[in-house]
Amino acid sequence: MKTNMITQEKPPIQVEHLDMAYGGMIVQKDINFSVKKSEILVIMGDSGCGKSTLMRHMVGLKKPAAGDIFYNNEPFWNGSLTQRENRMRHFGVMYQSGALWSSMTLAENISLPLQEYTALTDKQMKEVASLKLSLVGLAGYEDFYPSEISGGMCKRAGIARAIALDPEVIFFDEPSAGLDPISSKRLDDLILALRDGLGATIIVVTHELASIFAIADNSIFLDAERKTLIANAPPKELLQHSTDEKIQRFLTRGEKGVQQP
Amino acid sequence: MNSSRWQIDFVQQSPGLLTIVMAGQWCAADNLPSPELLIEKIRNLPDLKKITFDTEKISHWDSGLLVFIVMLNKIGQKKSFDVNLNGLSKNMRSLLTLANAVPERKHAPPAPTPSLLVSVGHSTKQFYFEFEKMMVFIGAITFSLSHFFRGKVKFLWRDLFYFIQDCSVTSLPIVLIISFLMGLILAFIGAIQLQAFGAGIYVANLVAIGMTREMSPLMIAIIMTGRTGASYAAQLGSMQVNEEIDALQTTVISPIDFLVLPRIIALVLMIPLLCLYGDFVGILGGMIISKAFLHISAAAYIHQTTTAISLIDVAVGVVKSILFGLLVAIAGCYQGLNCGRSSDAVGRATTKAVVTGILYVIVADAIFEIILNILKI
Repeated sequence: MKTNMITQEKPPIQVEHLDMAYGGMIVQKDINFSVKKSEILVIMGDSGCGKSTLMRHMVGLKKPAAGDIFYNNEPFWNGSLTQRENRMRHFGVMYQSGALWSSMTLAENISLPLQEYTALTDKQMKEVASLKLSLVGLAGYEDFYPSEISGGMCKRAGIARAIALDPEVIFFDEPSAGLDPISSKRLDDLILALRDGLGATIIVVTHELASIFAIADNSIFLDAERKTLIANAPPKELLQHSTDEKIQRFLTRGEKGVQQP
Repeated sequence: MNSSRWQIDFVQQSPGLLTIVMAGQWCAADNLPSPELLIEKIRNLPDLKKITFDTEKISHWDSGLLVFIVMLNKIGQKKSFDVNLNGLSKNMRSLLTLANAVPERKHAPPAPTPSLLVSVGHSTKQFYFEFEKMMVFIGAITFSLSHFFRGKVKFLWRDLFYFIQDCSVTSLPIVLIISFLMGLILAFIGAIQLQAFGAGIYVANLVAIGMTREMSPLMIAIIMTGRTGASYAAQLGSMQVNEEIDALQTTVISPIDFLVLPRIIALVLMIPLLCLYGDFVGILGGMIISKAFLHISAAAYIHQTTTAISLIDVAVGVVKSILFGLLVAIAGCYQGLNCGRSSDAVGRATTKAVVTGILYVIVADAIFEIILNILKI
């Protein structure tokens, strides 16, 4: 039903013939996929296949070796720097470790993007920061420094900062890695709520199976050996219909598609 | 049945079948037998087809036993006889199954060591690449500075004040000790030579000119490289490791504006003050030595000092120190921002910041002296 509505216009995010490389070493070749508005796309793949690298390309941290990413039909890397920076202002990025600025309190961490791009007063910014912190379950931690809270809390504060400006696209780099199952579930709920509430498009890099099935509308699978994208479909469909041995093993924790010795 | 030590026995069931009977304690720490034992044993058994195990009498075992069996297995593969694991206990077998589940990775052969010509070419290319990156960095700082002067400050004033404090007040004790001792050393060297000519009073000239023009700016630059330059590199490097710099970039806040500029401004503002302070303390050190060893009165020493140096000498030192401060801050920030993504890389960035910082300072000092000589200042 959703697909019928969207077919009129081109999807807001399109990755076309993207090649990724470090130095001269190709990591992934010829990646093509698109993400619809308000969709949750999961980037899957085994360790070291370039999931996080793909995210770094999409958020503007690493220039592709070839190809481009189109946001609302505008080229992201082949356009001008100003254009790219304007686009990046509508992104929220949550990093693996939280990546909070260590010299600032949590409230200041969230306020910094607000300070740069909004005309809010100090008092209003403080209110916004408190609201975002309470959304991730950290109400009352406004004046703590990142070094004073636990790793899981840093991750959640990182999410609060990523959603400070109510971005159009939110990127999550392994949000549930290293979290206990309950925090992990809470995080999944939060991601769904952000999508439903803010209408944000969400791209998640993860290999947490429970999360993948709980949140993903669509997924792509990167393969380190073939060095390209080997599947692009909702994970449940992949589980039922994919004939690729690697994908089956991944989605079933190795129970299917492999001969047990 | 000895449970304290491993025992191994080979029982020949038939020409093609050998049973290895194991007993006792089979732990890695017990100096286990080498699998060579088996090779020795089978040398005179050309018809061997199969090996089985009897492990019922093993009292205690750990991965030492597993390693032994894996190695026997490899020998079996090489000599093409069958190693049957059915005689092992269930726990042993399940661990061995896990160990064999994923085939060993075939490593690509290591790249051959490049010839001298290739590595020289490679280093030259690398040097050029580094130089280009450094120029881009300096260009970015210049841009950022123009932002600053047009009033579009992006950094936190709090950060700037913190760095100013860090490279001024908190640096005073070390600058005091080093500059005092430098003045003292200059006076000592001068005293011995000049006294031979009966020109002891000229110690004041030596110390004053030596400190203001050369030693104070140079020594303070070196202190600040080790203190501030290194800490800049370590701070920015650990922010790089923690993805904090990426986070700034994706928030479209330039790390140069936000992190590098306040650090450079703080050092460039404060280092001339430290230099003047060093001048003063150094001259004081020289005066104390003159009083103690040459019996020159403080008044005479001060009078000689004021005739020896002019404002130009002091100004030369101050201008130098500003230049040095800029170089030290740039070296520290550059190495920090270009740090790799491991804690090891932070250490390397810090070392590089100090080494390149001192190198830049000394080279700049030499160039500065040559220019001053040409201009006859």
